[in-house]
Amino acid sequence: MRADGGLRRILIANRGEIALRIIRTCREMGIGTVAVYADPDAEMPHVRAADESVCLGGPASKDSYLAMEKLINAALRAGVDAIHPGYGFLSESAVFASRVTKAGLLFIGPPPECIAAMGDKTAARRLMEKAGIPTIPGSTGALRNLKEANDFSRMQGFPVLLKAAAGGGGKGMRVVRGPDELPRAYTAAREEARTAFGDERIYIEKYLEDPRHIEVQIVADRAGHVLHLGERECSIQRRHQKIIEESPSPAVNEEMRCAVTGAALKAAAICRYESAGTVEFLLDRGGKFYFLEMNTRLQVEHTVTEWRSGVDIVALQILIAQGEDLPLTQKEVCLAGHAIECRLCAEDVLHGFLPAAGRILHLRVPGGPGVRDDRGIEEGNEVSIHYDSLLAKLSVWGTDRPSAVARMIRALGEYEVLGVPTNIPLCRAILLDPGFQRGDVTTGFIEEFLSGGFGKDGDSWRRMAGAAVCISLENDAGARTGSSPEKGMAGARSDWRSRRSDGMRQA
Amino acid sequence: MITVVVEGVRISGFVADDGRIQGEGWERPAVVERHGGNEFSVTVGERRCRVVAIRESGEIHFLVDGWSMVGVIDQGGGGQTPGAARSPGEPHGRQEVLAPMPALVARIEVKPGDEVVAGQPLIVLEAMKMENDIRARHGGIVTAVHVVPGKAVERGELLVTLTQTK
Repeated sequence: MRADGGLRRILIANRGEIALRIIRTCREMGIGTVAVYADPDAEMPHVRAADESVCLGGPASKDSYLAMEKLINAALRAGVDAIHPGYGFLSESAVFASRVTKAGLLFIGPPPECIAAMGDKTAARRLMEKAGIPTIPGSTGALRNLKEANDFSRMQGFPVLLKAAAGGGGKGMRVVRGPDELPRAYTAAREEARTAFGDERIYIEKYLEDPRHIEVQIVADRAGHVLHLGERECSIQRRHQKIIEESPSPAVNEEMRCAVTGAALKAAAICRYESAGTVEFLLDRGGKFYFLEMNTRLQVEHTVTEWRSGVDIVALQILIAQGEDLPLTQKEVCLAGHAIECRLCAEDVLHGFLPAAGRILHLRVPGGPGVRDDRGIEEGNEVSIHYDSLLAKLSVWGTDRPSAVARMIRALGEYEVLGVPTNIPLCRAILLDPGFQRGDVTTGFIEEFLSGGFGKDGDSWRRMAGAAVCISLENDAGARTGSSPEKGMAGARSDWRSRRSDGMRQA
Repeated sequence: MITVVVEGVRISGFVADDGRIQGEGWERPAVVERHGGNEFSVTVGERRCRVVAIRESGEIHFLVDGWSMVGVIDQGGGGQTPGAARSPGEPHGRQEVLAPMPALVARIEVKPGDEVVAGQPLIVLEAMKMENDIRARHGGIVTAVHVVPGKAVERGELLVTLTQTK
């Protein structure tokens, strides 16, 4: 710690774009940084960007980014004052937060009791119900057996949602539309919950058809000041994984905004929240909000809120961890214009969204006014199977929604990633969709959009253009009788057949 | 004549400064200009676009209009196209189910002797925090399961063998 109580050095217990994003704020605040990495990530930008880096081994997450002992030892050895967990991995582990504290370090996030209280989704919902915040009808505790799931479904009617008690990120979640599907879904959800979180408890709730996902960013300090930074609309999601987020929500009017931000502030106050957090709600067709859960971490999509508020949320997290009061009041929060974020992922949209591993052969990113690219990967890096498929978060700001949409379409057009298939064309097609442009989005949007035949038409000219280049390259290579300048060419000629992977995409 | 296979579609032709390409039932004039490095301007028929293309391990990766795709030059003799439903050398009446990507085996949904219908999930693979059902292409009887839960599999690794029922 510095004499003024400020942090000297922080270890970032994460990888990729979020590690880099945290390093950037630390640098602006004059705080030193220590990065950690698993073996496959040795060449990733976050490792080089930090002042120091520590190899954790791996490659599996449980042996690296989830290995509490290794992380705390690395922090102690590097002599840091604090650990920032980022999002995912250990960011919502109360056990990790308290072990960090016991080791004499600051955990940049809420106190372990808050994480635990909100991490148990059933208990959190009960707490909110008691405070008068509306919640979706659900089981009062974890399901003890399949019969309880059956009984609940019969009483509330299908569809129902099975959900891991310790969940997040769509894992262990199953929508069940009829009694026949229930047994298999029950087993699968428990199994997924067990492998993902080491906790097979699941609960059941009524599933709202096509609601909107609205969430409120809040920040709270130790002295009990709480403020919100507006709402985000995150309805464009597939299998509960968000793809496009924006702020403000096109569906929320002033009256609704007042209600939902009020509920979020209340939720934060009840659990004596500290640091940045997000209160998630579902908005039904009648304009009614239901508390979904509270995420006790920095959210992936915090960038859209930063765009509109001009506030650096990571900097606030650090100030709050240092014990300082919030540097602004609710009155001083000024939300301007419209912001949109697209999560750019390495996945094969046309083949069931299979995650795609491979090397980034070419990368060119957009620039110009109002564009921000939070990216954790560079040309030459490998996209590995061990971690999630997020390559970058592209976000834009515009004075209003139409100008933000136009800017995002422009920026996506400038984004070039070669080597792995990405969802960039899908994002662009969604932004161009008249329904999306009207702000007519629900959590069912993607499914409906994909059933409309996305990618099935118009790709033949792209194939033809690409084939023409392939033929031209091969022609040139042949003319030079094998002395090809292209990388990997000479050796590859003899072995490509053995690598040929017929039909696997359709297996 | 050079033939390239893009996503299971065979396209042949000669393209230098000027040329033509053709596929099943169509033919178009095609002009490719190289701008140095890996960038090209391509005109096929009426449409002109920019393409970035790079060779990697014997395949040509290219980017058109935001889409990243792969072309494989057909070295002649091969009647099979990538993207076809069966693995190389797979005999008739048998179905070999291969891993479509490097992944971990999360769950196995069948055992030898099980009768399955087309589209039934056989194996659940996990990669990058996502689960994917690997399904039977045709109905059949499971003759062998070649992997165990928790195993890391490579792209193309044999997962399940089925005999095909008619």
